[in-house]
Amino acid sequence: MATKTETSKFNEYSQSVLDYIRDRPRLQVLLLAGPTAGLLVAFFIVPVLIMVWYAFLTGLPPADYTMENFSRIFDPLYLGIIGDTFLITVATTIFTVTLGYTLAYSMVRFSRKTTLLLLLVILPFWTNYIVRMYAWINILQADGVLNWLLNTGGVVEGSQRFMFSHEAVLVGLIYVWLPLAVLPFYASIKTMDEDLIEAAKDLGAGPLKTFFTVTLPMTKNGIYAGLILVAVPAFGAFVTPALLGGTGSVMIGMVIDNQFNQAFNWNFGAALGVFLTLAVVASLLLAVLAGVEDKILKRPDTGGEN
Amino acid sequence: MNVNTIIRPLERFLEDHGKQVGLLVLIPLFLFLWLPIIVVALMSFSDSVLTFPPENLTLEFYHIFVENSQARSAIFTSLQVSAVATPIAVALAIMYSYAFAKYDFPGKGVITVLIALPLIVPLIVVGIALTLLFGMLGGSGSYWEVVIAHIVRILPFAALIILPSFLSFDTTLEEASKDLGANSITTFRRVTLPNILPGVVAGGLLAFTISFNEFVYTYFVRGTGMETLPVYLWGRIEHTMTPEINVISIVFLAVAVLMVALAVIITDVERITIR
Amino acid sequence: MSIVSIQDLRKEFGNVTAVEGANFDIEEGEFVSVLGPSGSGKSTILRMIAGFESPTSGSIEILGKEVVGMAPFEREVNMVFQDLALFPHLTVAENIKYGLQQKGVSKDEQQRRATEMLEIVDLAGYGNRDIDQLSGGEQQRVALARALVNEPSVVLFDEPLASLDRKLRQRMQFELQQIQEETGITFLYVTHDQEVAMSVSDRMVVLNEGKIEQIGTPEEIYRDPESQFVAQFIGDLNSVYSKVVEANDDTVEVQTNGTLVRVPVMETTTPALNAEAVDIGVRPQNVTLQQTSSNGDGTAFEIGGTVINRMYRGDNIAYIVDTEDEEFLVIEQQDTRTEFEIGEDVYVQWKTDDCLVFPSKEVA
Repeated sequence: MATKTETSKFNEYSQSVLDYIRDRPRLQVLLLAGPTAGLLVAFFIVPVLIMVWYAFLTGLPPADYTMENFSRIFDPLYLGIIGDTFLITVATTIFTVTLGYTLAYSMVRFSRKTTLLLLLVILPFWTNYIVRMYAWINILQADGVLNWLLNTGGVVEGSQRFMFSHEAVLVGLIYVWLPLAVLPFYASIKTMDEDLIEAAKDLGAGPLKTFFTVTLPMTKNGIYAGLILVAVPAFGAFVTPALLGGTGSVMIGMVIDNQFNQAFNWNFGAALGVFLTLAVVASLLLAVLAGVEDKILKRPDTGGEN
Repeated sequence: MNVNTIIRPLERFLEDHGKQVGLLVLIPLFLFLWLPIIVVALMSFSDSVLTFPPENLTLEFYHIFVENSQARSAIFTSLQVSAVATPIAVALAIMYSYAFAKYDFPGKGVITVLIALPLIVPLIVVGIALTLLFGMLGGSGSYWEVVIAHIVRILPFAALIILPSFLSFDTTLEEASKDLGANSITTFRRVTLPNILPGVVAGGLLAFTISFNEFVYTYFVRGTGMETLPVYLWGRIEHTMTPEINVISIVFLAVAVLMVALAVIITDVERITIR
Repeated sequence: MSIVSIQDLRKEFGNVTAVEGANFDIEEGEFVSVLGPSGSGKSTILRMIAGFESPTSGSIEILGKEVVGMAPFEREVNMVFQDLALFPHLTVAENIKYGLQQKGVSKDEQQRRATEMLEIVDLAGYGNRDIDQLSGGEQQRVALARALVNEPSVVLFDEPLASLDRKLRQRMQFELQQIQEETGITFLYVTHDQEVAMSVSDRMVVLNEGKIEQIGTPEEIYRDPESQFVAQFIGDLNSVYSKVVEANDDTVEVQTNGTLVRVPVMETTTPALNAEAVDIGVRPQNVTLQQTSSNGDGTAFEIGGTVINRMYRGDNIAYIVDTEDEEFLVIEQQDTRTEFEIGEDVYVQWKTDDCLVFPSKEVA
């Protein structure tokens, strides 16, 4: 227990510290934003740099430098897996974005219970990822829900399994990322000025033409955001292909897991990690450039007029 | 003109019945989102693993789950990690958001990108990168390493949810407080905090949920002793399908519903959907 | 044949009747305003003509063709929206061409008509600009051009000038009138601003609580308002409650300041003749202030009161005079009479010819 004088001494002391800080905004910023920046540098930037370093080593440091880990990526085995990963990512993105946009559009435009529906969309997203994959195991498994449905409908006979295929992985990835894709679509459709739709109709465009000439271009930024939100994690996925694809549908993420936890070739694993990161960064840059290009092309001859 | 003869009647149909078509489309989409979850919930009362439809409904799996000490200790580990990682991440997010909203400083844009980056880089990349770092430092996947991994994972989410509270906060209220004689700390405690609290609490709840569900970082970083509930669940599914998987799934579902419900009550749905 | 013919139009939103028994025609080349306070149903009428709302009952004919049941994109009308609703992702020219594209007009023709339209609205050379590069007034003109270029049977305006400042609004009104004369296209203009409606329109439709109160030229409506609502809505009005002493063929006798006066009643408000009490209305411009009572000769009204406020307004002075039961607004031209001070006792006078007689709103 502090006595009265000690408390007041402490108050006096803390007051003088405050006075010192008050006139030094730079110090304030450092104290406030510094810990966050420091943490992210130490435990995000530095680790990623270490990963890059490992990718050029022959073994655990100290070790010699080599390009071996990267040239191994171009082994037909891994090229095949990268190709599959790419195709699954593209398919996932196309399906998810289409379904997500449809979902968001119908929710905002046609339903009066938009908020409730939004809640129903995000709840599955906050449910554990593995649980959601396990749900699909229940459905796709031999003697699972899909098999039962098809048996009941007389489409197939007996016990059939739908797992361990590209299709199973595709469905799993669409399922996982659909709620996340809905969010930017929802936001951009909701904030769009509805008068524009009336204006288009007033000028003679039916609902379809209005959608393609007004709504879709007006929500372009939301669509870009949705594309990235789905494509990036799908390309790096490893839980979904591991649980639903197995050896039937191998993606890069699974190979990395394998290198780290079974083969114990951390250097090759790190090289694959670098490859994954570069692919993601490249696609993001492409998206940004596309956005920039779009702006430049839109105003070809307005320069100097204003 | 030829195109118009096809499109006109279609346009007319959509003008009259677009709403019905739209609502009809919602049905299969929501079934797609919820059917798998309903199946899991149903299977937790089944008497057999992975065979559908269940022959008998029973609470047996719940008994197995409750009596399984491994599952119980996994839950305990998860709570130990999340209960420490969440407040740290929230505190960092508050400090950062305060700085972001109040000051203009060099490197502001860089830090903003830095915070968003972990959301963009694939989880598995950060997972292995952290593993390499901790490996170099001679770590063995102990408690604190897992906690740090969790902080890195949830900090971006916490910051993204909490920042808008600070951006929409009227800073003249702080000036008024200081004008009335309160110092910086008192002003923060009595004026700033009450106004931003709903956003902070919602951010905290959702950060906790993400941490509680976190798998990929933990999976790579952890040592043998550190088995969180998602890691335990993964092990069961990958190696030995045991009945209590269904019950663990229900635990996760319940946590999601509870946390999202609380966050929605405290703020609103659109707030917690990020960007 | 009328361009637009509206018969027994009625619109209900749930329990609320927004428009009731609306009947009016618009002739070719006319500039018609629909004027009313907010919530009077004026926008609802406009939106029913455009096709965004469907009437509960009644009919809307455009060029003799019934349009109820047709979609907005099937109607030969175009609208200038309140917030303009210009497409921000398209350039000025692309905005203007949008309607022509939907009609399947050839590219060359689109270009030709868009260029021509830009000249008419005084925006030649602005075709490649983005919408957000334009000022408020320029955006108004693009919105107008986008509607006009389709050569619709009628252009509908949903208070597009409301957001502009007074100066710009007056200039746009003037331009609007000119463009309308130039193109000969029929305009239907919805507004709550009587000043705008009076200055631009050939005819006005005054709405109150979903019902049409009066249709007529601005002069008719100002001079001979058919109801107290119209009189008060179009210009300012002072009004005095008076018991009817005797009603004749076209006059009522009422008491004022101890003397009987005979007040002429307009044909349109003859129901007042059968009322026990009437409201005698007078425009502030028609009222004068006197220092002394002129002991009524039967041709003028007179009420004593005290000046409680005085506002200098450039070319005139407005006084507020507190009489026994009403506050009077009096507007005196500055050059003519003596000025009065706050607190001064005065007599408010006006000629019986300037009276507007309405059945009293107050229950006797």
